[in-house]
Formats: sequence, C-alpha cells, structure tokens
Amino acid sequence: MSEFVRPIDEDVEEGEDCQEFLTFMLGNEEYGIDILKVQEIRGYDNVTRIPGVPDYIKGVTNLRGLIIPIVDMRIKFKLGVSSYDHLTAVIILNINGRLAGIVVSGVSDVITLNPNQIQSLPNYSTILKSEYLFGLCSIGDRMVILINVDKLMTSPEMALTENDEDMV
Amino acid sequence: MTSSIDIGQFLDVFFEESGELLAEMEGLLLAIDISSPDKEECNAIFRTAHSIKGGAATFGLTDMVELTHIMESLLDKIRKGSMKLTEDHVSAFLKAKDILKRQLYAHHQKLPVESNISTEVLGLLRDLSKQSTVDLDATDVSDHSQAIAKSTDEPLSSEEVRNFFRIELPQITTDDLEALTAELALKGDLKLEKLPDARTVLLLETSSTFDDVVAICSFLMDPKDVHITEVSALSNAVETMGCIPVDDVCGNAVTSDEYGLFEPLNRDKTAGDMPFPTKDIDNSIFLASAHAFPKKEAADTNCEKSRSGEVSVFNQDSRYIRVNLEKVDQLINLVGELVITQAMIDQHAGRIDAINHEQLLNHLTTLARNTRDLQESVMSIRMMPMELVFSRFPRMVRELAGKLGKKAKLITIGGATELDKGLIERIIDPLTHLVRNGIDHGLEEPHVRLQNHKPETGIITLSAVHESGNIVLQVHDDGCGLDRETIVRKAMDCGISVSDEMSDEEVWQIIFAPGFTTAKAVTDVSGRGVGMDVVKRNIAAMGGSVDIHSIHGQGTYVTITLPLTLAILEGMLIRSGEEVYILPLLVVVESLQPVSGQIREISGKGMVIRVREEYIPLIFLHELFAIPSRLAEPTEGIVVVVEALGKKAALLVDSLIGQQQIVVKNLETNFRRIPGVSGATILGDGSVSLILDVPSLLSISNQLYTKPTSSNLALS
Repeated sequence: MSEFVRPIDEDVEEGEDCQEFLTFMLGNEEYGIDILKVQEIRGYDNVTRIPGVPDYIKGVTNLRGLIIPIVDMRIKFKLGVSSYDHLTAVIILNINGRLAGIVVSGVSDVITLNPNQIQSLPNYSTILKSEYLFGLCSIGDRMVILINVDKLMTSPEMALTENDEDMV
Repeated sequence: MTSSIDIGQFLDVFFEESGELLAEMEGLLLAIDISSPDKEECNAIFRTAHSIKGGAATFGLTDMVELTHIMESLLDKIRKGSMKLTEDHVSAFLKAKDILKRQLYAHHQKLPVESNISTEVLGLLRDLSKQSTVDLDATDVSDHSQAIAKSTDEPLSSEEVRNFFRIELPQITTDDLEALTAELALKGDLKLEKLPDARTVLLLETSSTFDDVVAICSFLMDPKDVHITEVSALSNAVETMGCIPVDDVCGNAVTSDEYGLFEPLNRDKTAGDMPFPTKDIDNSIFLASAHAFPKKEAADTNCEKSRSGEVSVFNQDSRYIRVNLEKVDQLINLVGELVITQAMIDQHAGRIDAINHEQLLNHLTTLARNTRDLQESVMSIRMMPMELVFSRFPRMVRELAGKLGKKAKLITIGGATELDKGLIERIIDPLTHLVRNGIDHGLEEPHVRLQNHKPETGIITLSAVHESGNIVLQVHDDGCGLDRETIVRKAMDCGISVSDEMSDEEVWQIIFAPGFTTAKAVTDVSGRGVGMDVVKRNIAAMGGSVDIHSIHGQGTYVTITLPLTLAILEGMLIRSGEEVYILPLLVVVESLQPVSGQIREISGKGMVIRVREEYIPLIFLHELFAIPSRLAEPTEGIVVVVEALGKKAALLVDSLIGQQQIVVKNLETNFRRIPGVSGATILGDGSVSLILDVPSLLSISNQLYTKPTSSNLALS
C-alpha cells in the first residue's frame, strides 16, 4: 500500500477534464477505477462467510459499524492467486452510497488522465465484459484497463444488489 | 402581493404546527366535559382555532381561514358563557377539524383543494351560531343584540384607547384594496378617500396600535410604499413605515381578529371580563417562536393575561428541537460502535496485570459505565411515549360506539411509557383493531348491560407498562367476554379442528386463525374474519406476542408483549463448525443433547427427532449453510428446538456459546437479502455474525428435503 502515496505522474497535464484513477493489479493485468468511487483502502481482515453465495463473495466485514460485502475480484475474474494475509489489499468502494470492498492483488498507483489519453476499447473479448469497461490507456509501457465500476458493481453478474434473481 | 419579506420559509413550520394544533384541538374537544366545560379548556380550544386561522391567513389559505373563523366565533361565545356547549357543538367542531386537516394536507401537498368539502360543516356551524339566541337567558339576549347592533362603523367602547391613523396607500389592485379595507374595517371606524393620482388614503379610528396597523398593511404591500401617519388627538406625531424593523413586522404578522367574511359576532369589548381578548393575541408568536423572533411588547394592558398564556406556549416550544431521524440513527450507530470498541478494550484489559495497572483498570470501569449510560440515553432519543398512539383512540371509540348504538368510555393508562419510534408506528394498526373488536364484539348494548347489572357505559382500557425489557400493552373491555361454545362451534364451521378437552387458553387462540369470525353479520366495523390473524402476524413480525385472557360475562384482556426496540435483540449465540450464528431467543423453545435413539430418518423427507411425545423435523445447520462441520454424528452436537409461525423445528448445531444482547444491523444497507438470514450484528471482537431467520430457514429446509438432489443452498 506504500505505492499508493507515489506522486502523480508529472508528465500528465492537469486540466479541467482530467480524471483521476486508482490503478490496481489483478494477476499481471493493471486495472483503473475512478478514484472518486474509492472510499479507502484497507487490509483483509475478519470477513464473515455468508452461506449460499457465489465463491467470489467472500462474506461481510465490519467497517466501523457498517456491514459491507467483500468481493474477491481475483476469483471473480480468475486472475492471480487468491491468498489472504495482512498484505492483501481491499479497496472500499462507495457506489451511490452503498459500500463494498473488492479484493485485488495489489494497489499500484493514482494516475491523472485527460480524455485524449483514454482510448476506446479494441474489439476483442476480455475477461470483463466490455459493457463494464470504460477504455484503455497507456502509461509508459504499462497498459491500464479502465473499469466502469458503477456498472460493474451494480450488475446482476456480481450478485451484490437486490435486483438479481431470488435464490430461494 | 408585493411583500418584501419572504414568508415562504415559514410555510413548512406552519404546516407542521397546524397539524399539531389540530391534534391538540381534537384531544381537547374529546376531553371536555360537556355539562360543565372548564373555562381554561374552552380557551385552549379557542386558541388552537385562532392560531391556525392566524397562520392560514398569513399564507392566504382562505378556505382554512373561513372555517377556523366561524369555529372561533362560536367558540368565543361558548368560552364567554353566552352559549351553552352541547354535544352537537363538539361533533361539529370535530368534523370541522377533519375538514381542516384535509385542507391542510391539500395545501401542503399543493393539491387542488376540493372547494365544497367545507360547505356542509360551515352550514352546520352557522346553524349552531344562530341557535345561540335560543339558548341565552334574558340578560344575555340583550347583550347579544347589543353586540349585533355594534356593527363595524359603531364606535367601540369608550374605555379603550382611541388611535387615529392616516394610511396613504401606493397604487394597488382593487382586490388588494378590498382585502385591506375589509381587514381594517374590523379594527374600527374606516373612511376612504381618493387622492387625485388614483391612490387611496384610509382614515382609521381604532383601538389597535400602530404596529398592528403596520402589520396588516405589510401583508398586502411593501411596507416601504405605505405611509402611515398616527394622528393622535393631542399631537400629530408622525411615523413612517420605513423605519419598522423587519423582525417586528414578522413578529406582528397576524393581528386581525376578524376577516370580514362574516357579520361580526358577539364581541364583548369590556376589558375586565375578557380573559382571553382575541385582539392582539399575536398568532404569529407561534410562528415566530420557532425562529426566535423577538416578541413584540404588549400594547394593551388587558392583553397581559393572554400574552402570558402565549408565552408559556413559547417556552414549551423551545424545549424541543426538530432533528432529522437519520441523524439520530447515525448517532445510535456510532454509539453502538463505541460500545463494541469498549468491549474490545475490556477484553484486552482482562489480560493485563491488575496490581500494576490498578488505576487504568479503574478508569476502564468508569469508561464502561459511561459508555453504557451514553448508549441508553442515545437509544432513548428514538423512544416515543405511547401517548402518541393512545391519543388516536378517544375519537375512534367515541365514533364507533355512536355508530353501534353503544356507550363506551376509554381509559388510557401509562401514556408516558416509551417505545421505539419504529414500533410505535407499527403498533397502531393492531391496537386499532383490538379496540374496535372490544367495542364491537366485547361491549354489550346499553340495555343488555343494565340487565346484567353493569353500568350502562362500557369501559375500554388501554394500558402500557414496561416489564423487564419488554413493553406490555393491554386492551381491556368490560364487555361480555369470549364465549367458549360459540368459538368452538364456529371453529368447526370454519373447518378448524377443535376438541372439548382444549383449555380455555387454547380455545382463545382459535380466534387468531385466518378467516375466523364470531360476528353474526359482517359490518364495516368488523366481522370479516381478516382481523385477528393479521394482528397476530403483525405483532409477531415486531418480535412480540399476543395473549388473551377472558372471563365470560366480565370482559376480555388482550395482552401484547413487545420488545422495547427493534434495534436490540436478545440472542443466543451458537457455533457450527468455525462459524458463529445468532438465534433470536424469542424463537428458541429448548435445547438438548440428542441421543441416538431419538433421531429417525424418514425416507426422502430427511430426519426427525423425537422430543418427548413429538416428532420434530431435524435441520442440519452445517448442511444447510455448507459449513465444514466437525460433527461426525448428530449425537455429538446440540439440538436447539425453535418455533416460528406455529411450526417447530430442531436445529442441529455444534455447540451453544451463550446468550447476549445484540444490536441488529441490516444486511441490505450495503448488500442484499440472504435466504435464512434476517440480519447481522457485530460481536465483541469486532467480527460480524449473522442472525438466523428461522421461518426462512424452515422453508429452505423443506425445499431441500423435497428435492433430495441438492445438498445445500443451490445457486444459479
């Protein structure tokens, strides 16, 4: 998590349309999400398993009195190794007032992008359906896949919200 | 209207306060003793009507003004003793109150107001006003006729201070002018003059003060545009509107007694015997009080008494603040958090050396006590007195008894008993139902009661008491009681299995069966048989229970036991594998260690356990929840017998941990509903534990065993 405080790339110009992204690793791939959706980053600790939910929903945890679900993106998108220790990073997202934590392989950076730097998606299939993706960008020799985290987290596919099919 | 003061901001305050005033009015009307009305009570009713009128006039809600005005006039006569209070009055006022409530609602929601809803009640009130002469004795008649003769252009009583004002108006519309002249005409002698530039000058001779006149004018036009000159009999002191401070203008918003809509009614102008002179009772104090405007100095000494009355209201008001419920809930959450943190510290403190750290441990004890006190105080914010619920019933009892031709009196006990706001709202319907039942089925007709040597008037008692962490509500009627035979017979008709050996308590429970009714005819009051089962279900949903105790011929007690709050639950902690779950203690019947002979398998239907003479379906919690269990044999675990919705089940768990109070948290806030789980809580070590939802567990296990292929909660 020490990487999180690394200064913003200086070659990127600050502008009105610029948007900041938090990037994280899932296996060897780097993904970015709108930093305004990120509430905090914490470790993986004290997660209570919930019966009868998909395996990537690790359970719920106590975030200062709030009970929030924890989703392991590594399992969901079959990227990287899922092991849990005190270094496992959990990004707490705030999507329209609802909180959820996502487990990632590691948090890497905060990048500032202007719209010109965001390329549209090439038409090939990724692990994430393209409807949940925002675009691509290159930072030096790294490629970052930008995720539309709002859409992803509220999708029936994630089974985090009420609108999915009733399981009983 | 070109007022420079934005009164819109007060509109919400007006709606809220008028609602409260209407409720207060109803309460007072129902409490009043018709044969010898208390003067103070009459005054209080009068004040409510007057205050609403004042507010309504401020915001131009003419329909409400019209109605409150006529109510006020009638009430004025009653409180001065020039008219006798009758049952008809009270009924008419109650009707008027309902209409006002509808009008208020319509205005608040910005809906079109049905123009004719008040016509009937207005007619009723007018008729009652006219009857006044009939009721009056000789002296009153003369007083009254004098009062009638005292039309607007009559000079007022010589004892009063006479002021002369010259009001120079700006260019205003005819409507505004008419409204203003009508208003001012009520204050005294008014003359109109036209200026050459088509503007109007009003000459007013009145007992009202300068401020009053300013206030009236400021509602129709910008105070800066009006020039009011006080033409005193001695000097020609000149004051202009421009220098009136805004606060003062607001504070004096409404002073008018009459609105020129009707002929002036009996107005006793003798200062001495006017306990509550309407003049100068500044309605807007109610409005202003909420905004801490400086109260205007009383102008007339004969208003002192009424003013002090208003002041006490003012003081009462300022003892409360309105707070958004969300903020309160947030506070409760934070304190819950603090309690958990405190518990964690305590856990660690248990391990440190007590001798070397004596001071620290003492402080921790203090901290624990303070935390507990803090939690209690914070929880009490959400607590509301039962009076809020009880206050709805006098009206209902009165009307229902009237409709059924019965005589009933309501007694409420323990209105100050407090209950969580969430529960207060949900208890209203079940209680209403029980009270209706009590009157409809319980109380006998007056002549039957007399035959049975009972007082003609039946008594319905509503009581609330706290009893060991629960609130116990009781609805009692001193009517005929439940009839065992009728219930048994009807139960057979409805296809409910009954036997003669059943105890009374068991028979009484039949009335909670869906579709059961003993009413001979279906009325719009009750008898449809959709009542008691709903009552029972609603109360069960709140985590409570209902009991009936009845003695034939003497009455029925229905007792509801509820937890004080939904936010705290008495829970039993159980362990299954490595996981800890919570069972609400309310559903737990017993727990036992099974022996091998007790457990039988029913092919395709799962297992049952024989507890005494009963076979109860056995649910393996670890199987249901796919928990890696250490149990090799069911006999190694513990069976907890639970009961929900009248069905029993035995839950096999690894071990029991203990019993504790838990703070219930919602899973849906950030996640979604999970089958078999009703919520979650945070344990002392900061971890989350799930609260089992027994009814849902039962239905899951039913499905599970009818479909033997799935071994746990199948997911799509």
